[in-house]
Amino acid sequence: MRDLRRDPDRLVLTLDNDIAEIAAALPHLEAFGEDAQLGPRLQNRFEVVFEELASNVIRHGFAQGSRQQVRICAAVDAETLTLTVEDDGLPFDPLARPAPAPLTDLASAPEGGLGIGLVARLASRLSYEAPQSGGDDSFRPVNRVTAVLSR
Amino acid sequence: MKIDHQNLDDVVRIALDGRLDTAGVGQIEMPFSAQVGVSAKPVIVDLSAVSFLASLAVRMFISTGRVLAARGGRMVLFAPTPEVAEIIEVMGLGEIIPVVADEAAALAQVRG
Repeated sequence: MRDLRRDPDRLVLTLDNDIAEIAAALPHLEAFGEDAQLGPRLQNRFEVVFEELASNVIRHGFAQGSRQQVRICAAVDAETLTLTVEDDGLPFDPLARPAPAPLTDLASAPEGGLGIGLVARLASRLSYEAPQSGGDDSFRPVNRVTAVLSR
Repeated sequence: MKIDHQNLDDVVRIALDGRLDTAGVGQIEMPFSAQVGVSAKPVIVDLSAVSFLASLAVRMFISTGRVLAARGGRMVLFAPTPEVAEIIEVMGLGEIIPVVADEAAALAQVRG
């Protein structure tokens, strides 16, 4: 993993195709959140959305053993924290599936699709695009998910 | 991620400690499922030392709670931190598995 943090209001991390990278990224998310004075509630939402989006890509979005990557960008302003998760894996829109129905009964409660449903409820805005440009020589994004959290 | 199991007279008490993220759930899902799966008694789960909870943990509680319910048993979660409680509330887990403030309330739920 590389920390490409650029300024106090923006964090950029590139993770390898390895679920252990999620935990390795946490100190960077914590330091960024402290500098940005996010507070415990928003910091937790930030970490949950990061966990859900990044782990989903690493578990499902890459051919096993590939050298593909996930690039995370977090940016804050006075009103929002925006988390963008890009990957250069298989084209996939995680928002294309309908969100699971609300949990009403243990016997019929779904076990799949819960993660993206959680992100959709925490974010004030959530979007997917297949970028036609962006990245750099070492990373060309194929998928981009953007979640905006309100402060 | 740590898991501690206690056999009380009429209830099994399981305490979880750590982050229930992808890695944490991966570490404790099998022992947790096994401890719930063999229990003939209701199960109360202490979340007071769980510092983080994401959707894989909710999935674990749903699948193990369902196994217990199929045998006529009951699972109650208790003492979530404010951050964990928010995620539980946002996901609506409390609608299908009781989540209460403390151990006394959890015991009252399963014994009541």
